[in-house]
Amino acid sequence: MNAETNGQPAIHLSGLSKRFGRTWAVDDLSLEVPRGSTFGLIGPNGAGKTTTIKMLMGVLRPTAGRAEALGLDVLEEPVQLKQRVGYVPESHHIYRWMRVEQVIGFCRAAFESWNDQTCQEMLDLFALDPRKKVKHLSKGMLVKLSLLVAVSHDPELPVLDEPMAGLDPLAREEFLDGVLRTICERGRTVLFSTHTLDDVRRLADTVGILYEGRLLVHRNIEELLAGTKRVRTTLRDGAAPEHLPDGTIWQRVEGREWSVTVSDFSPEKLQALREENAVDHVEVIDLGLEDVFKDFVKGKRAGL
Amino acid sequence: MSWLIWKEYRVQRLILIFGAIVLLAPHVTALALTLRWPDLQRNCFDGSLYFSLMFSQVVLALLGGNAIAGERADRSAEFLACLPFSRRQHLASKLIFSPLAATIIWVVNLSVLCLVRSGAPSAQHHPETDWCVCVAIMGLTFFCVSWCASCLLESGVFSIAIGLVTPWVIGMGIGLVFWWLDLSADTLDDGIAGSWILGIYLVLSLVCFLSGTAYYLRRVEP
Amino acid sequence: MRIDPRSHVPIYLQIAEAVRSAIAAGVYRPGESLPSLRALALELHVNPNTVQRAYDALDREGLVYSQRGKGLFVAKEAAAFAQTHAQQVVRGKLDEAIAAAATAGMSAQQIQAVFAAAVEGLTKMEDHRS
Repeated sequence: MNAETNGQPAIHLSGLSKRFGRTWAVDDLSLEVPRGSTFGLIGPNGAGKTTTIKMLMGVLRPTAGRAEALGLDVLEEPVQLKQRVGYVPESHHIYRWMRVEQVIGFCRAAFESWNDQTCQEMLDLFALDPRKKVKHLSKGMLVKLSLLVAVSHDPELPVLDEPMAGLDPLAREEFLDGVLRTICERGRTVLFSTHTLDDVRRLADTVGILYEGRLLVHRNIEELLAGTKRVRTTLRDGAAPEHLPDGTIWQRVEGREWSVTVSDFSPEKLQALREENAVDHVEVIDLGLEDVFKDFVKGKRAGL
Repeated sequence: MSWLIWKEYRVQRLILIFGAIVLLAPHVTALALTLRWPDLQRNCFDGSLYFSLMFSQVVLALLGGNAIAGERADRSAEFLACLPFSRRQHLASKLIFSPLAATIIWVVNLSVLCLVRSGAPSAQHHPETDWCVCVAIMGLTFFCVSWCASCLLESGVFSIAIGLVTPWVIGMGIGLVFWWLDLSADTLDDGIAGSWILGIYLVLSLVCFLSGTAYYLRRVEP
Repeated sequence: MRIDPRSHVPIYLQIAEAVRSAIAAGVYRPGESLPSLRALALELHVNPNTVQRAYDALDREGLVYSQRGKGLFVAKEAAAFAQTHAQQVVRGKLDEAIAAAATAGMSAQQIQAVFAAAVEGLTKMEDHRS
């Protein structure tokens, strides 16, 4: 199994597209996630994160393009893929009449690589009562059960779709613990989509920003943050910005203050900005992930 | 696989229990009445056979219509889609209960029929045989049409409704054709026209079952 | 030890700094082992690769050394480190301030003047207290 997939990326999407009616929810998406990395997919609501993940998991037929995971075509070998992937979907619809222990028994029968030890560790970590029926579980416990089912068969590729939406802070931390334990297993690739940028910063090596079905950014997080800076300047009286630096992703003029966010920032770009525009006071600001994300999205909305 | 069958049983359990009641209650009632008024035996069991067989065919429509669309309606199909079961495995688990139910329905009713008729002189042509064949084909049509609807749609209730209504609509259509072609009811008694009609229903059943199954196997979404 | 995911400072640097501070404060003494990758990752709620990067940085500095299969240990040189650590932190902050001043267009003399005024202000405050 490993011999076939050595050197191949864990996830390979090429030209993936999905149309609903006349809207393209996902538009020509190409993406590669190397093995062993943790990839965080972020984007505003409706950006196409869940649609992309569903196509990757083979539960939604793409309009165009191809999805491959662990070297397998997602539509041609769905059963084999699901043996090796752990999927936590956005909404959880485990049979409400089943007890936790029955859910576990059902899933144990399905997965060849089910690991009872992992399962027991997760059960203990999440303090789930095996005798409880799913309909009596709180939202937080249901999400944890979904995670338990997804990772107890030691998948090579856990895929989590906005798993922490709607959880209280304590449940989130406990869930994060569970996710971290799976990340700590060597050789595992993890893909997760989320709104919580703090979690992306903590857990992911690489981040992808999705907007209106297109991938705006796909970079290593620390490289992205190091390379994206906001320059705040004061325009001289009567002057307006004349020349935007290369790689401008967002800009705003408010009174005399002109702020511009630049990707792949360099001292040369700063110099060029000073020389080509009528500005006085210049300040370079480092940005956190939330600011970078917002600036990319706002910039795209403004047509930059 | 056994877990899948267990799951399927739990999902269909209410319908199976309802089916058991519908199957047996008429006969139990008839038995009770016969014990009280023994000379009404034949009438009672005629009635119980009628009710039991007719309503049991409805149960087949319930089983067929709920099989796939039921899990889409409560979205548990999405949970199943996360697990490494193949479509064929799902199909196999779902197609166990309906033939089993049909077998039990006919075994019980035919046994009752034989027991009740055992005293009567054997006639050359049992009108009951024709009637049983009609009911059997009606049941098959109910099941196959609701199964097809279940494969395509996302509402179990709607699938069941389609399964129950379609054969009647087709029957009315055939009746309209008869009226238009100015054929009388005598042609029906002839047996040939009757065979044609039964043939139409058989073909309808086969087409519905095969196309629904083929679509389900090809479909990517849960 | 906590890390701030909102800060623009890379997480691995935050971790490295947190460990440095802990060593300077004597939480980990020379010869003692640091927490394992997995343990620290779980405690800080970060990716273990990031902890690895932080540990690598500390290893390069010579503050820690690794023993095959046993993990990371605090180096003997770390004893002297405690004194210089505080100075290094200040130097880091000064470097940042000077860079910001340069970007704002201040010249070296202007920066020195501001610095002198700040030190004078501190001296006055100390005199005032005593």
